[in-house]
Amino acid sequence: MALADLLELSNKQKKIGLSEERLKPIIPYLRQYVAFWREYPDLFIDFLQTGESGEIPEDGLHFYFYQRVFLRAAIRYKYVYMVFPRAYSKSFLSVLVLMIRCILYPRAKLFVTSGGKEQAAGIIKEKVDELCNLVPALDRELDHRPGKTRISKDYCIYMFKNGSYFDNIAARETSRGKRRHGGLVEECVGVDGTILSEVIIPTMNVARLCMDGTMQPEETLNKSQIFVTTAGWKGTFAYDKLIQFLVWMITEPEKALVLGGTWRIPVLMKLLDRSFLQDL
Amino acid sequence: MCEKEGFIPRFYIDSPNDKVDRCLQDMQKYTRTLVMEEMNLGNLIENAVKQIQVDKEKEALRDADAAGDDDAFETELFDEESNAFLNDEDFVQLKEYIDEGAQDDEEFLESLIDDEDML
Repeated sequence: MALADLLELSNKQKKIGLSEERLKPIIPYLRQYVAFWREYPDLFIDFLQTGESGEIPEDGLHFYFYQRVFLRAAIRYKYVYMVFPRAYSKSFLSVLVLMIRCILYPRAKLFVTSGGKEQAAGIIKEKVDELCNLVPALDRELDHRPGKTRISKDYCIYMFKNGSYFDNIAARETSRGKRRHGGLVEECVGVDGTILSEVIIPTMNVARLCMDGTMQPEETLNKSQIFVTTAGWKGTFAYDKLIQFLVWMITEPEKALVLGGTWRIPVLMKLLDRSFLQDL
Repeated sequence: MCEKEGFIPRFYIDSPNDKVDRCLQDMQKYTRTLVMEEMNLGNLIENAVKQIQVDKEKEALRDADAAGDDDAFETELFDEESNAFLNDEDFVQLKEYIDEGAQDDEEFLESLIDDEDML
């Protein structure tokens, strides 16, 4: 390797300090970016991955078309209900939505709940690890100082450097009285309806305190509910909730959205093996 | 740091910017048409609307609880306008009512005197 190459290499890896003085002049542009990314989360992830070359690395996170639809739908609406089959990457994308919300909305407090506390903790841990490996910038937003991000067998909390966090809460009476701004109900078909409506949903009766000290109850993040599940049964709480969201989707189209998908999409994208289906 | 300057308003999307946006818009339109034009969904939707109403009432109750009874009491205590039992308008109305009554009495008395004179 020639000296010129070495010098060029060292220049490329030169670290540039990120001081307050450097950031202040670009704050008006950053505000526009944040507003834009809050509506286009997929482009935010693309932006985090593109370096000087402007291309996403080979081992990075490349979204499929339907994943972009999922991400935008989940972040733009307050009430989202999604029914998708196995291998649709629904949990992966839902956890990504929570992480993006935590980054773009400082001081956001979000939750994940599922049929069992351990189940939710397991889902979060697995998906966050996977996401942090694919997009290292997400990992850098997490606060790894002692006492902040904590992971145990049945409870995990991921704290961000801007004061946001998300954790798993149990769909039990013990969760009564907790306060969150929004959340994700994983596999909602297995969650007890009474607990959900009497304990989990009431946790969201406070609005996020913005960094300027104001509260904006109409902000999409506040009281945002994402229900994600595989197909269930008629006459259950989850089904009633689906119909309720469907009616909202018609009466208040800017607030609610219901999405569904078939097994054909993951098979088409090679996320699900065709032989797996034939063996079922 | 960005939000310290003030609340960041929502990015306004007036029309679809790419095919993903278009896809979302299409799905919403399609579902709307499907539900609005389907004849057999009446009962289902009626029940859902009832449930929404119940949920809204519950939510309103929860919000009231969250605001706290103390806050409500304090607001009521210092709400001078609603606490004022009688205001200026009430006194004006009372004065008008008394004047009208006095005028009616006078007219009635005059009519009685006239009747007596007739007899």
